Amino acid sequence: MPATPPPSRHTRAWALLGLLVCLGLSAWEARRWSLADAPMPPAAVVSPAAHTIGKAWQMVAHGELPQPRTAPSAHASHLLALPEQSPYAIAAFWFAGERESAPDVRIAMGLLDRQTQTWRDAQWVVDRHAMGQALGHGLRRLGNPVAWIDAQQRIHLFVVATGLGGWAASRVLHLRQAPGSTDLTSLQLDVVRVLPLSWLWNTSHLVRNPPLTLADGGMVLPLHFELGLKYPVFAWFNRDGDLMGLRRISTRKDLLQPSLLALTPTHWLALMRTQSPVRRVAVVESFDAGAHWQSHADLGLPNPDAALATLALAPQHFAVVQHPISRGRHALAWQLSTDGKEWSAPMTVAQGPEGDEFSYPAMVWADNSLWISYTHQRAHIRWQRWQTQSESR
Amino acid sequence: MDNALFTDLALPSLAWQAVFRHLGWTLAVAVVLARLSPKTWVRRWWWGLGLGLASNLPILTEVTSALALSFQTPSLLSQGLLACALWRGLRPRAAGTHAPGVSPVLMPMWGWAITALLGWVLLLDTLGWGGTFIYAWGFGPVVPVAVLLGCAAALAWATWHPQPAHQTRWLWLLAGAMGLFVLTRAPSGNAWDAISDPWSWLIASGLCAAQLWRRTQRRFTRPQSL
Repeated sequence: MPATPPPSRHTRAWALLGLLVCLGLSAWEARRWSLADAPMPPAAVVSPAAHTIGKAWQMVAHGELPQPRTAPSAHASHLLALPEQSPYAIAAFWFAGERESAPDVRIAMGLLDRQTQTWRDAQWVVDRHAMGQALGHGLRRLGNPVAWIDAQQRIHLFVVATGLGGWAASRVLHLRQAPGSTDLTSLQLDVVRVLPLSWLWNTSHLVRNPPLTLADGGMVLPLHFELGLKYPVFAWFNRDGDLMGLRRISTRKDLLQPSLLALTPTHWLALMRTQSPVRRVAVVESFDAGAHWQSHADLGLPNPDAALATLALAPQHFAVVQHPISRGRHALAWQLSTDGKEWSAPMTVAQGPEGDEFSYPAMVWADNSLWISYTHQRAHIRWQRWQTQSESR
Repeated sequence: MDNALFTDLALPSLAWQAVFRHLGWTLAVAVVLARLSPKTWVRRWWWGLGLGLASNLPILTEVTSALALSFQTPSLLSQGLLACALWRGLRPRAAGTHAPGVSPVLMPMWGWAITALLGWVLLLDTLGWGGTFIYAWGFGPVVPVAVLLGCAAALAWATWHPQPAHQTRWLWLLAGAMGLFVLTRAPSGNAWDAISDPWSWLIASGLCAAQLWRRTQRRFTRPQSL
């Protein structure tokens, strides 16, 4: 083999130039350090319903969200409380189409008129073809939607969108209310991007539960990975809706769909659906605003490997809606707690014979009421309005 | 100091993503088609390039769309390697691959070994193994700064120690990929995605396994001296 020739002056000059460019770019990148080191803010502790503590609740209204005519199937609703100046109190998002995972599934939105207290006809807000065109590559299926409002009062929508494969090949599509689209009855959403969540072709992350608001107006979005094994993570966004980082919630491999509760600004709980044979709601706890998480014994609440939803009504006043059974999805109930671990007796939301399905609940506080929505037989989204007895008189 | 520039650069725009997605899959289609064609076919690299470019035509956008749907965007390092492979195929004389003493190897074995090892680490991290969340580091400045300083140190060493071109090519490509990432945040906003992707990990693992197999075979088939 011939001996390697000594480097010419030319080669040395190039290497020196490369070295200098590398050092320059390192210095440029290092200036971002101060931003990267900024700690994630604590949670905003909310108390929209402090006056309900200790009072008895009752359902004051219920019904079905108007379903788009061309969609015989509906699933995975999400409720978003709108700002008080909006003529609408709640925006409900869900996916609808021929069936779950069908190519024609789109994201529908229903608006609750604040004055008339009636739901407007559903409108389509996300179509996989239009979104695929904006992204420059196709989307195979659409799934769970989750919405959030940023500090500029823009609606962000995070939607599960699959690549090649089933739900295990899911990615999370980030959409944002288009500039000028102020009339929600014709809401236009722009594609921001597919969130970069994993190295493995960015597959297998799903979103289901609502974000936890941070003190600076940002939020953390709970997510989970589900390719074979399942573990929970969250993505941190600043007040403008820019992704700032990712954190893992638990190292257990059988937990999914985390639902976050802030007991105090820094003491958080994540209640989760579990696939363990124990069939109880799993919980992990953080005492430093999500930086580190500790395992905790499963809660006393049963969980038939099904979605649940939580809501903070006030400090030391939390609600969960979930299945009070360890098998099947034919019963749904909601319960109250002061610490997120011990829960009151269940209040029935829906109950039917075995084989019926009432699933994927969502909760929100709006117009002085607790609103619950859930999937009914995979065909409709039903809603309920709950108030304490003194308010409903 | 106004930090807006840095926060805006946190993740790439859709436009930058599109540029690197098209470039990446054009190069990949071109190289794969050329490599799959019979070696006796003189114009196979030109045909590969032509078909790679054609995959971006409106009538054939389904090709890049399907590839991006399944595999998102090749890493910038992979794109650099693909561009090198294409250049060497198109212009063997200019690339010097026929010159005596110039290695026909695109990249040194240690480069493939690092690529394979990094891929394994990121795969296990994706599957939730290990106490830390390594992929999340890719959003901060630690990974780009570490890689760029590592490249600077290696280039400083290479300046005064003679190395064959293919030994330093990988280093140049790595530095280029990370530099481009710092400037554009492509392809995803995460530094790991700029220097590693599952396809490069699979190819690197395959090449490393083959090399290991050849070495093991040689060791056991070496004639014993009497």
